[in-house]
Amino acid sequence: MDTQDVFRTLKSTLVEQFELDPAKITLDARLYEDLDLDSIDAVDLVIKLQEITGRKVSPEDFKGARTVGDIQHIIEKLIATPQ
Amino acid sequence: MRANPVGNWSGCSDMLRKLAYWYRALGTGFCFAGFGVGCVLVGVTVLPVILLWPGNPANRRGRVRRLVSVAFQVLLAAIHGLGLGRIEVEGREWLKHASGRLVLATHPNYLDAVVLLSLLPMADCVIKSGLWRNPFTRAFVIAAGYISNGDPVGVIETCIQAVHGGEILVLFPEGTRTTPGEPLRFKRGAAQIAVRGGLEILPVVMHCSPPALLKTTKWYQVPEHPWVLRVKIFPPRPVGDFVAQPSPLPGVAVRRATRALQSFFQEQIKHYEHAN
Repeated sequence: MDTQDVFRTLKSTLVEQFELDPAKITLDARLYEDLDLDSIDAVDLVIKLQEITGRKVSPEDFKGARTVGDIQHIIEKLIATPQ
Repeated sequence: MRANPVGNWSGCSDMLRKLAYWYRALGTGFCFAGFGVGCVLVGVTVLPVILLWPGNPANRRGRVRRLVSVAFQVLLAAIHGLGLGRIEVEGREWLKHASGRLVLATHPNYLDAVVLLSLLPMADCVIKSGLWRNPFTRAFVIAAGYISNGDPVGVIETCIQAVHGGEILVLFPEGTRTTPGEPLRFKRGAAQIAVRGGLEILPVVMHCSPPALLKTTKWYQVPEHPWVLRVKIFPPRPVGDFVAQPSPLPGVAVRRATRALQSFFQEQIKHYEHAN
């Protein structure tokens, strides 16, 4: 998966899971303020990302994430590290 | 030139109106102060006795909740007796079915939590964590075992478990008092609990006319007339009944339920606003 693929997958996951407008999902979009996600959504998202990447993902990994771009970086790092 | 008699009369009624206004402002202050003093007095006398009285933790919690309920009934009786406002309840019979269900209510002013807990003595409720730090209320919210909204993820699970265990859970989906006349804005917390717990909802619509005890006004800014707080209780139904298009994805289902519940309550409030 290259950077483009990660973003596309992340975008479609967000649109599907939280009924978001695809146009709003940019790398700079802030998760809480711009996309109106809440802390329970974050838990759902972590579970979903675990399914998609097949890697063990913990909510701790996403603690500092503020934007869609932050999540993309975290996913890229996760799939780059060997299992 | 001398004022005509009609002018004199209107001056007189103006003065009476002002007097009545100051009387109700003072009365409201008296109720606030009385409630604070009452909390302290009951907190150092009755509360320790019912906490030390033999019984298991659930018994003790139940006693404290009954005490809170009685205190609220006294407060409401004082408000009514002083002529500051009155409360009209419709659909009281549905409260018998509140056990194991989620009681969702609108939040126009301070008193709606007071009214609901006076009507539902055994109810559990989610209270803002600030009341755990307030010296007047701290002892009671701890002893009554109410749920704090401090941890947003944990509180959802705690609430679902409480309702599954047969508790009556009172929640205000707006999260805070809202400005009358403005559209309702529900937070997603109540729908999170209802959808993820597969719960039934017992809706309670409250409307205060004229608006009183708002978030935006000081306690002494009372309305021109004594207020009437109308409380309408609806029969319980599953959260799914409110939603036109169900979804298997929790994130989507919760958003749809939030919107559906919000428009249900908004519709009901419209009836009151048209009536005025």
